[in-house]
Amino acid sequence: MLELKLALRLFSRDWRSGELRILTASLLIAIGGLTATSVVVDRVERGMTRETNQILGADRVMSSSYPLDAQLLAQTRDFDLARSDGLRFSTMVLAGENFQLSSVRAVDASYPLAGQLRIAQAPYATGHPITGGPPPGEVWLAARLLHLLDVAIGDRIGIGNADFRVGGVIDMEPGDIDLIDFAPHLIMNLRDVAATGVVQPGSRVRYRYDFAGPETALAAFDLWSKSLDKSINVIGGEKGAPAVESALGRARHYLNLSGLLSLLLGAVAIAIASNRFMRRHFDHAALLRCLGLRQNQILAVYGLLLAVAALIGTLAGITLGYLAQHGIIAALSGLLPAQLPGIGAGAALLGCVTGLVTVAGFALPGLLRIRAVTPLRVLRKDLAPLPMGGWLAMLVSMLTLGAVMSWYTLDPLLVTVVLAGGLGLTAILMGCSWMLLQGAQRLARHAIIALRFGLGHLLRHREASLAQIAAFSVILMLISTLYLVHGELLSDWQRQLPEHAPNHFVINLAPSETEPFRHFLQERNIPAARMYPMVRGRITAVNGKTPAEVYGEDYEQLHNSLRRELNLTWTAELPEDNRLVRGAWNMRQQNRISIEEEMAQTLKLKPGDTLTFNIGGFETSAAIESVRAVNWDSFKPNFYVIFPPGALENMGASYITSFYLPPERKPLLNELLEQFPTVSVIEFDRVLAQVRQVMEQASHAIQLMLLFVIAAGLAVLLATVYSTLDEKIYETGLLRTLGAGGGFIRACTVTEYWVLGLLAGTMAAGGGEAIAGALYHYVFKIDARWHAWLWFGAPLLGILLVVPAGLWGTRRVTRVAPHRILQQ
Amino acid sequence: MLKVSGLSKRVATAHGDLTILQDIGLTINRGESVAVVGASGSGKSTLLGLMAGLDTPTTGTVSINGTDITRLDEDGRAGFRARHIGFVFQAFHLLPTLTALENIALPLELKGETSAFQQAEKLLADIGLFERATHYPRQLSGGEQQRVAIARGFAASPDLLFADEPTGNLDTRTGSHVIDLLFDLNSRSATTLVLVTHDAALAERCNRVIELEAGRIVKDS
Repeated sequence: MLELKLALRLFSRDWRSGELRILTASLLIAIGGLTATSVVVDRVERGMTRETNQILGADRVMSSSYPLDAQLLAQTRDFDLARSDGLRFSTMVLAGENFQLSSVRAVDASYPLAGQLRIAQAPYATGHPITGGPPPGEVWLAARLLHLLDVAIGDRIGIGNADFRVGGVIDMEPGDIDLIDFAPHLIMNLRDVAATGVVQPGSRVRYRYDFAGPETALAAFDLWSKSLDKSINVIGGEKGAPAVESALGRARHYLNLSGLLSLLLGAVAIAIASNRFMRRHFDHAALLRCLGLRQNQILAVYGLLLAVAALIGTLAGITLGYLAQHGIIAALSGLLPAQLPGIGAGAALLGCVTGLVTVAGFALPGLLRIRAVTPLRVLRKDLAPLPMGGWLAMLVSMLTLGAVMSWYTLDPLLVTVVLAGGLGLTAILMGCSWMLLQGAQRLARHAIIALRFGLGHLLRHREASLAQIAAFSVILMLISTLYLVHGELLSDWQRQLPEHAPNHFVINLAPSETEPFRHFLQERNIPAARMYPMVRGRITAVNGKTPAEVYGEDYEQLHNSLRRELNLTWTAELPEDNRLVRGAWNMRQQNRISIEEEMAQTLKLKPGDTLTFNIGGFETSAAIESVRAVNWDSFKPNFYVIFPPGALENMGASYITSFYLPPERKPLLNELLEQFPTVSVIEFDRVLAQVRQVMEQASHAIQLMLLFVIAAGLAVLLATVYSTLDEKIYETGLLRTLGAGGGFIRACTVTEYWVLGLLAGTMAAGGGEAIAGALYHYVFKIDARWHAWLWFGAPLLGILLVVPAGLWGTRRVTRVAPHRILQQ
Repeated sequence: MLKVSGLSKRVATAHGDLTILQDIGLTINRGESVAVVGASGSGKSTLLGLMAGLDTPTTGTVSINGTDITRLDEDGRAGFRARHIGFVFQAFHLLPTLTALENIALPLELKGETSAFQQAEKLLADIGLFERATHYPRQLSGGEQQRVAIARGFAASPDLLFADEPTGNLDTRTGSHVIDLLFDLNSRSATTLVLVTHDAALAERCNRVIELEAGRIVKDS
């Protein structure tokens, strides 16, 4: 009780005297920044997920080869989510003499739960939004199916035992993101499926259950779905639509990283401010000790005092954070997803708890130090308490930070890279700074007085200077890291989806048609992409044994490549978006193949293993020579299996290629199909536009976070300069008493902060490169690059930021009468 | 040499304005040694600060060698101090990160002397601390620190030296040594000495004693 009373009294005294100003300001910046970041990250992330769900056609999709049993479906009702059932199968569709293998999608009246279904009345025309599938007895066809079957709206087609009227042309179909299944699409009413008699026990059917609803319900659903059998595939939320999954995943990592870095910035501010606060209270503590307070009481008094300050700083910080995030989101409303979800209470709580725990972790070393103040200090001021075991203090702070960061991001890899990288680098760079300062000392001997004095001040306060360099360089390093990663991500997305990325595939080109086709495109100024020969084949044996023998009876559930016929190609050159991960690219021997990485991992295949394929009735075996990483998001022809040239040439190959067609030239497709009646055109321009939109919004989101973290970084930098000014102000006051003019003082300050900025900036460049490199490699999975400009840019930024901050901080010294400074 | 007229200093407090000095007028001639005495709170240190140009008065003027320093801006006063004024403080106010030698050389360097360190070494030898040249203030005793501070005060050969309770932090014996040193250097350099003190022995050694009470001069003898 005594401690609380004393703490409150000291608090009000310190508050009035302005002692708590810097500490509270640092808390405000740290917690405000953190809260704003968490709320913005949370809202933008949920917004992006919602946009992705438009592509997916639902918030969550469960799919399986078997109809889900009634008991399981009953369980899903508990989550109070909207549900739409559907199924997908391949079957022959007949129209008079014509027949075509088609991918049929049967949907109920609730489809689609997200996104827009658009149905047109003519091929390649713009459709009208519609909810619910076609009425019973009617089907909607993809434009190319109409062409392949040579039918028009109003004609009748046959599916199995039933006939249907063609009621519309599919313009946009949510959930149509399967770039491996090339069969033309058809949508029918779920209630008509039974009449066709096509779906029988043992048929290859994919049952699809779409769900949509509020986030809390979806979170509960996600938790429940984790326990489901592996044969039931669940996508949506974290596991987004395949086409945007990796882009979105990277954006999430980046948003997490921004949050993490603002947390680190906050930690730097809190550590410095609380350390300064404690240092300035050694005299008070010594006096209280003299008056009879025990060490633990001192600890309690100052702990409580700090807790009160933290509470006020936190509340003010949360308010500031909320206002800031409103401002940020309002300012960028046109660039972010149209409808951002509301503020989640969780994010605010996260910001608040994270801030408080960080305060506790980083103020603890200072608190333990003030506890150790000797009462003898009232007689001898130079008796500063020994710094608590440096390593122990560091360990406590780092453990706290690691725990908070892991909790905050749920991304241990990211935390490890940032924390371990940051710590290791700081140690190395501090050593370098120490050596550089030593070198500067030699140079200083021959310099003019202002320069010598400025440098001298740094050298004489070596410990404090190193701490300042460390703080500045950590701040600049975090800003550099975020900037570098942001640049890489944007250019990687840009590379992945350049402005005129192909948005139409052409398949079934006969070998004899490849040249005329190329010519057709050339004549119309349409750049053609590479052409790949393609044959379809099914894997029939792995190392001489059937898939069932190797992987068990449920082998079809294991991987796409075992479920259906694969598109096989041959080429002597490694496709440009592919990266060799194992083995060598040597396509000279006929009985060799290269397979895709994920397929190799799932099917436990390695170079040397043999796969047997059935291609049009012929069996052919080949040994795996290499494993490739394939970028499935690239919207270019990609293959699970690549053969060497010559191996499949007698198997009746057709060719596949892709090209870009702007929306206004869509009618050209009709001309193309007239000239090449046997080819199939797969349009994915709509999907691509949606994916591009999600990526653009993700880009804006990461730019927004970059700006925000830079602003927080600058605020922390200013707070850091202010926190370290006490001694400087005293010394400058004394110098002025002895006759030093304002110009001299400014020259000293500029020299001192110039060196600090230069060293901190140089260290930040090294650190930023290293951390960004590690992040590219381990977290974002993109190739690292060296940034020569950073080695000039970061030191320049350091100087440009630190020097004005130092001059601004010390400006009072040249204005206030030195008498008052010396009396303080 | 030093002329003070109509000097007042008021500061704002929570309970209204507080007058620290009121209508002070005095003249100090070259080479004089003057002790300003008075009870605590009588305004001695404030008067010293104003006379030395460390602070600005509410009203009145302070002229040194014919220059009204109250009309100068902060930078102008700093330059004036560098050329004409030396200081010795009760709390020594040595720069903690400079050695004894560097502390003494500092005013010379600020004045632009090229042989600052040679002169400082000589002064250090004069005060008997030559062998402590590379020691930092924290490595020196209180008396030694004050000796270094006195040497620093005289280093730039000021016209006027202001000392604020120079023996206030020292025991009698050390204080007496420091006073000897102060007057010894003063006589050698013919500096005008103005000191604020509670120490009767110190006041007695001055040519003149000015007594303050509640911000006014009550005795000048």
